[in-house]
Amino acid sequence: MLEDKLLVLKCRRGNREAMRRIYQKYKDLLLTVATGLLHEPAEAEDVVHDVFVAFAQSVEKFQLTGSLKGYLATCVRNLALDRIRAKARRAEGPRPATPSPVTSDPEKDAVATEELIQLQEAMSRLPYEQREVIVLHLKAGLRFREIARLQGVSLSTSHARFRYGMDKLRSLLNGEVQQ
Amino acid sequence: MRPEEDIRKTIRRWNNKTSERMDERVLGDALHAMDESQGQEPYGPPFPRRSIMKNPITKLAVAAAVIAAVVLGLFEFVSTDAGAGVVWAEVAQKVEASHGVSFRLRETGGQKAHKNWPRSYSVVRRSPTLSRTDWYIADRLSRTVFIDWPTRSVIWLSHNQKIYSKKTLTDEDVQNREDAWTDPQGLISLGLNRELHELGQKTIDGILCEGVGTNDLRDGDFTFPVKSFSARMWVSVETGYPILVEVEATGGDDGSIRRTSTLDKFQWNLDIEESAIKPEIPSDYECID
Repeated sequence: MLEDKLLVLKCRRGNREAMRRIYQKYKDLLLTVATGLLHEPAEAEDVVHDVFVAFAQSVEKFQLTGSLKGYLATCVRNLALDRIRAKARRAEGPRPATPSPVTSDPEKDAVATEELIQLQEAMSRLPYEQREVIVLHLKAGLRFREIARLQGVSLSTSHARFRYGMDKLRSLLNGEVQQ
Repeated sequence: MRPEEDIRKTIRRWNNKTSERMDERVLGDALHAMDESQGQEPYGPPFPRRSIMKNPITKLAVAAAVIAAVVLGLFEFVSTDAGAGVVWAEVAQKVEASHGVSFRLRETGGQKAHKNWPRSYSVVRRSPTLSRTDWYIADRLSRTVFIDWPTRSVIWLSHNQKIYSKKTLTDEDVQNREDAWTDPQGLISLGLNRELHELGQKTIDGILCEGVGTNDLRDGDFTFPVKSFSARMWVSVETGYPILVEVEATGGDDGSIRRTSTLDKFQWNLDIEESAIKPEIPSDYECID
């Protein structure tokens, strides 16, 4: 948190290295969040691009009041939602970007990659609101209260969406992923 | 039903990585925008040409085979009574001399856990240079991973999803191999200096066996705090080859972790050739690289 405040402060003074560090720090997370919400790699990349460019444009006057991670993830969420609203989603999209497991064992790598691909596909079958809560909570680390505010719903609705989403994921993944 | 905690962990582990092209595009545009907004002359593309994002090295968790190896290697240090059916030093020599081995593996509680035993399991074939592991779910082949260590090539096929991947191992991966169990000979080197106790004799699947066990845990064996650990190996009195290895560890911060590994259906001294175990990639499989 303190490091992020310092980085933002440096960015406000035009420090390019600070902007690079922010990008390096959060790019994979934001791409994962965007992919989780949009399920289309090219669109997810565009969203992350637009978020960083907008952030860079406004950083001179930017005041960090909460977590930078949460702020950027919220921006990704908002832009992703704009895109979803702007067009009717295709019935079947391209295969999502291949996720990268964190292991150096080739066999574990295969297991983890396969598992993550199946997870992405299962996530894409959730209603958007449920998917959004799950991604923002588990991946971006947002609290239910923050997500509820973003979605314009009550805290209990946010919790319920998470619960329904997780139950459906369990059902979708049951017997497919674990081996 | 799959535990929710598994799904949560998978989601947290989910990580799409940006490409070098994307990094250049995004950061180039962002820095340009930042310069413009602050009235500075925009620089040229500033982003380093290459950003190497290596995966962090995580200690190999619950390497069942590694622990099994530990047991194997210590036979040389177990006393052999005059009346005993198994000469442990000879077992070690036989294992070490075996060119290739195949066995069935069942793991529970870990990343490669097998559910619905005995219909779900892995079949492993290994030689000093080649490795192939086939995962079965309900007796149907679900996944294959083939590794050719000299050429550093890895082929992975998901038969359920009809996808495959071909990768080349890094120096780091190859280096890690030296710390892991990859061939029967490696078992010996990994197994030195543990305290063993003899388990006596029993019959397994009609075969008279003699067993040895250990509770000697070493740093780095597991990635979680271990409360209890035991490993047992049973060797055929007649052939002198291992036929069953069982490993169990419990622990974790809240004591909820229990991991087991069972290796059986061993075939020792196999000649494993690439042509016999290198997987064919069906034409309708999609490459995900």
